[in-house]
Amino acid sequence: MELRSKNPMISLPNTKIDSSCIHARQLIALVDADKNDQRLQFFKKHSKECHVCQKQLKELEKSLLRLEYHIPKPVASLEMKNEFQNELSQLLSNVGLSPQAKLKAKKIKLFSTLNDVNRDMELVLRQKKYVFFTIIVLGFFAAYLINR
Amino acid sequence: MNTKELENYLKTLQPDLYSFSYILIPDDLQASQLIVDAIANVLIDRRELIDRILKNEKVETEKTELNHYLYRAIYLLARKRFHQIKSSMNLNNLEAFYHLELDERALLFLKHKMKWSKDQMNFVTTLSSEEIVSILTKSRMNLSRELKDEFELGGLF
Ligand SMILES: [Zn+2]
Repeated sequence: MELRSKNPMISLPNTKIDSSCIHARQLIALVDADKNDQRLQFFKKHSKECHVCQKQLKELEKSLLRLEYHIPKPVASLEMKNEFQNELSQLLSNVGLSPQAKLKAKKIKLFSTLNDVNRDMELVLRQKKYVFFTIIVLGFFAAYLINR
Repeated sequence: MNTKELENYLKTLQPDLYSFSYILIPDDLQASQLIVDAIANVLIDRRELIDRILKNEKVETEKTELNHYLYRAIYLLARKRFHQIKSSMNLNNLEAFYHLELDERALLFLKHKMKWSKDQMNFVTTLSSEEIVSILTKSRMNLSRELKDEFELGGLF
C-alpha cells in the first residue's frame, strides 16, 4: 500500500498524529479519496480492530467538522430570489425546441403516422372475412361488366 | 418536460447555485447576475442538451448534466470576472474563508458543502484529479492557518 509520505500536511510541525500505527499516518491522505478507493476500503476494515486508528479517525472527523463550519453556504435574500425568478422567466420565455429539433420531431411523427396506416391495412387484410367479402364484391362487379 | 417545467427545475437549483456563485464572488448582486449569465450561456451553448430535455419525459440524466454545466459556467465566468473586480473588493474585511484563492474556495465548497466527487469537481473546474487533491490539501491548510487566531483546529491540517 502506498504511503503518502510526501503529503505536506503530515510534515506539519504541530500535527497530533499518533504514529504508533503506520495506517494512522495515512488517514489524512484518505480525506480526498473516492468512496471506492481500495486504501479507504482497507482502512475501514483495519480501523475496526485498531484503537490507534479509531482515535485518529475521531480526531480527524472533529477537525473536518470544525473546518466545514468555516466554509460558508450563503443564502440569497428574498429580494434577490424574486429578481432571479423574474429574470429566469424572461430568459425562458423564448426558449422552445430549436428549429432542427422541431423538424426532427415532425419527421418522427410523420413516420409513425405512416406506420400506423400500414399496420391498420395489414390488420384488415389479415382478417379472412374481409378478403372473402372483397372477392364477392369484385365478382359481382365483374358479372355486371360482362352482362352489360 | 416543457419550458415551464424546465423553469421550475432551474428555480429549485437556485439556492445552491447562489451559494456557489457567492463564495466565488462575495457580492449579492454580482452573484445573482452570475447565475443568470450562466443559465443564458448554457441555454445557447448546450442547445442539444436543452432540446433533449424539452423533447423527452424521462430526463433525470439530462437534468444532472445541465446542473453540472451550470456550475461549470458559473466557475468559468467567476474566474474571468473575479480578477477584474478583485481590487475593488475588500476581501480582508470578510471571513477567513474569503482570504483563500478562488480555486481553493471553489473546491472546498464543492467537496465539503456539496459533498461532490472528484469526477464532478473535475467536470466543473477542468482541473485534473491530482491538481484537485493538491489544491484541496493546500486550501485546508491555508484555511486552518487563517483561523489559528480563533481556535486550534485539532492540529491535523
Ligand atoms: Zn491502525
